[in-house]
Amino acid sequence: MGWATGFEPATARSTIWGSARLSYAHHPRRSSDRAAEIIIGIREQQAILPPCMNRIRLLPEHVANQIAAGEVVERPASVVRELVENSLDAGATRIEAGFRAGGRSEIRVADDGCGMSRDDALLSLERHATSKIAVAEDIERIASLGFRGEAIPSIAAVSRFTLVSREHDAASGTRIEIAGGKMLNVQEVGTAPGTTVEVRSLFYNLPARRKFLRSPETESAHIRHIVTLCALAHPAVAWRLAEDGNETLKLAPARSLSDRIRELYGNEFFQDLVPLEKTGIRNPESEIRVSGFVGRPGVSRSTREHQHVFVNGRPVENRGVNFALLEGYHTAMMRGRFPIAFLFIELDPGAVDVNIHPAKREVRFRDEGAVRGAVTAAVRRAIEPQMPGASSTAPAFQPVALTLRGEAAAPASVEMEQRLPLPPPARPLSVGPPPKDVPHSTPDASRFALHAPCPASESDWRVLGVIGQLYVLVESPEGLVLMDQHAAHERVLFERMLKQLEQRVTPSQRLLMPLTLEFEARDAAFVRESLAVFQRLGVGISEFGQRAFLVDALPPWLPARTDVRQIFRDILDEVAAGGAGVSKLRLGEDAVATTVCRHAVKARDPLSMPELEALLSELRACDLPYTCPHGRPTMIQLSYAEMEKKFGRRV
Amino acid sequence: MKIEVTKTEVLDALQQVQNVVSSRTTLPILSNVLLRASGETLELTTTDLDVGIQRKVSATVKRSGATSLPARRFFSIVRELPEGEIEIEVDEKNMAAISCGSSFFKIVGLPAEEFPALPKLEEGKHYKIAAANLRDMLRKTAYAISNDETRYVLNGIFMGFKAEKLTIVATDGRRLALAEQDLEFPKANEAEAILPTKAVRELEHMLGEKGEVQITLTENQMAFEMHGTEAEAAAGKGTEQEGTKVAAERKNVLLVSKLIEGTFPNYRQVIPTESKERVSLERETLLTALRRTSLLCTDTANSVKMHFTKNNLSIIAKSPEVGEAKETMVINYKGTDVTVAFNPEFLMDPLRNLDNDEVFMELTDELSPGVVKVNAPFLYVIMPMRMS
Repeated sequence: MGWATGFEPATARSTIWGSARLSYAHHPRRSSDRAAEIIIGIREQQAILPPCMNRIRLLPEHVANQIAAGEVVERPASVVRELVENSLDAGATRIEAGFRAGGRSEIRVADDGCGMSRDDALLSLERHATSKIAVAEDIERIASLGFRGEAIPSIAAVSRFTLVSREHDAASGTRIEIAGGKMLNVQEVGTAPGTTVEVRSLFYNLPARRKFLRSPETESAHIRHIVTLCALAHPAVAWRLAEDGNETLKLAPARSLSDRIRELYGNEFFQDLVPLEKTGIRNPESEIRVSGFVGRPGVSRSTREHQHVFVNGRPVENRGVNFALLEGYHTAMMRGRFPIAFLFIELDPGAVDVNIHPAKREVRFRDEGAVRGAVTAAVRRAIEPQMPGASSTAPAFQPVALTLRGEAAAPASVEMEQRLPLPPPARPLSVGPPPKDVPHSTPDASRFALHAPCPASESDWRVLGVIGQLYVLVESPEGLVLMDQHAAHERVLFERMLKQLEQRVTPSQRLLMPLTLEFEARDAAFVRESLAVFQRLGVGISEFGQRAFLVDALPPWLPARTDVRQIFRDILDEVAAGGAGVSKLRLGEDAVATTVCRHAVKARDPLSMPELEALLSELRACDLPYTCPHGRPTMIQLSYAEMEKKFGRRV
Repeated sequence: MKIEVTKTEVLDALQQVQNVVSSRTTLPILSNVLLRASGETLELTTTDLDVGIQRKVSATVKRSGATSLPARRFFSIVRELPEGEIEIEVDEKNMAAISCGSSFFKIVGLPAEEFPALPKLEEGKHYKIAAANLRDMLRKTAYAISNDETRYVLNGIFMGFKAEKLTIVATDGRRLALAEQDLEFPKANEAEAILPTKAVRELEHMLGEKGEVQITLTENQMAFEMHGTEAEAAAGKGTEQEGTKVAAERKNVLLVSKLIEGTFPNYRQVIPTESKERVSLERETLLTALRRTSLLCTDTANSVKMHFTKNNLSIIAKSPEVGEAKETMVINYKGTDVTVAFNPEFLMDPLRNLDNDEVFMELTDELSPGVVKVNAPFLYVIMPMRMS
């Protein structure tokens, strides 16, 4: 297209947008842009009108662009995200990203993707210019990461921007320089195939936005996070990340996601993960495939930060998916703890709307229930064989060792990591300091982090005795384990009773006088949908007006003094938030926890050796052996390493 | 204050009043028992501000006066003292000197003026009922009281004075017990009240075989008073040994309780007006059969199935992880086969507290309420368990 070549960088009306407007006017044959032309016409007319006549006016181009940029470019990390996504869409096999001062002074992303011709490169700077979609219907089935054609012009509008690109078979490349949306220079240059974008002085023309940037450390962390996410989503791509000139991440192309995770987080972390089988709902119209890795039961974090969700290869945030994940664990996860996950959801692009968030961070599913269901089912399937005793054919993996990561022990373990000779072989490709967001070394990491599992065999553990009439001393292959006999027995009884509840047909005690419960509209709708579920759980409930329900029977294990309204409120809160089915366990959990507490052996009950051994092996057979039903720990370990340190055998 | 009392008298009185005293209270005076001596009596009073009990014993009053002493401690001292006369002398600093034979104690009391006075219920509606009858009615119903604090109106017994009858009802929402007794009172005295559990328990302790209870009902309080005179008259007829036993019962006791505010649910509505089948059962046999089968009930499987077939009743308890129990009874039953499941505890409760040899069960089907009746103004509605 010749329109752009005729344009001179230093003309008086020299914004590229202004030039474009001119060129449209000069080339009316671009029929697809009629609408734009008309708008421009109006705009030009308005510019002539006296300002007092209308109160509503169209904003000048550069203001509109800055506003748009504000939505798309929130912080340096979003620039990186957009640029990296463009590189990925361009089919790059290696991507190098670099930034200085948290991305404030410079961001640079270079790829070996398909590159752009001079014309394409110029057009790419035009708003809504994209190669990724062509017609409106394409929005419904977006397969690429980008699609709006907004990112590049937006970034260019708020920074000093340089784009260098060369197609693989072209003799030379193009270099375009823009500052604050003003085209400064276009020239032919020699360069490697692919595209390199440099963004300097981000927000230099938006002082307000610049003020809102966080410290360079925070912005760097965000950029690292984005790059890590993209690296996870595309294991086959080689990545390099340089911060202030220092290489902090270097990833060779990985054969699989597991290699990539190992590379990023280390082997030890990977040991705590279980793969999700790549299965899903087989309905061809709405096939949902869930794959990836989740933490083993018992591995948890105190925040959702380590839940990485990718929908069709795009890192996204979706509360529903997070809840579904948690629901998959249910009893294997303590309340207030969150699982680790690398969750890849693949489904028909038409069944997911990515066009709801300016930065494409969130997505909406056409059938969210189905997606949640698929995630929950996949997680459950993956962790069930991990629950010892659940299946005899399952590999007999058992979490064995616990490391005390309490306040006192924390420094010790940090020192230990520092003492390790050289980077561990698990991370041969990472140079420089390990990424700061390695989950197991964050301060919020589980207080009782699990160590590498090892095959369980009864003889591995030896009961030594009891101290304080409460703590059972056990020798494990890793050191000394202290087990709280009361907490341990509580957990054993708790799981036994829950299993009984789950297997049995629930009887329900009919009530003399039915209770009427009233809910707010949203909850009422949920209760109405779940009537059958509640019935199955032994709660006799039926509709009684618009928002009122009649409860005429309750499961008999609920103690007589239970406040039925409170129970419903709790279940609704939990279930409405989690979008999960009401489970029998939910209804009875608290009651069961209280009952078992009464029946469990107490602190001062003397137990004989066979009793202790039985308790230990039963506890180890539990789904979640590490905490009692109230969330207190059942076992803690003093490892040989810690002992050796304390005795000065190791420095 | 200076008095002389016999150990047995004062011990008996303390036993009766000390239940009300709470060991955990932020108001120290409530841990104390109020002693007031005047004329020829010693009056002992305790209260937790909801329920108050007052008991009078005869004493030789050398100097009248009043004080309050820590109830539990005073009670344990008296219990351990040798039989005989106890002399209690209290100085103006509420220091009580207790001497009996060779024992001597000094305990620190609190001024009597600090003790919250029991309300005087003179105005109000009055009723009179034989103590044994009231006790019997309470025994047949009180076990069904709910302890669900969120439904506070059920945390007590309903007492309805209506149509020349006293009706007592207790329910926890899963079963309901009702007892009735003819009672004469003026039409103007028709009223209803809910007496809290704690007062019911104390009342059960305090009511004896003999004598009459004077009930006074005001808007939010209820008082039960047993006078010595009628009991003494009754004691006159017995032998000497019975005389002393009755002597312990005849004492002048007063219980005052706050009432539960609120409306008791319409219990008439839940009593089935008619049932399809009615079967007569031997109470003892049924109770022992239930007791045995319920041995196999667990916390999560607490139901027994009752199969009524021609002239036969079998009771089955089953829980997968424990086992199975089955009892069969020959009964006189000609109706259609009925199978119904109940919580055995709910069914045993009335059986334990009734004394009739024969009980009747009225049933319709597995989902309809069952009714237990006897040849007396009593009935018990029990909701079945739905097993599917």
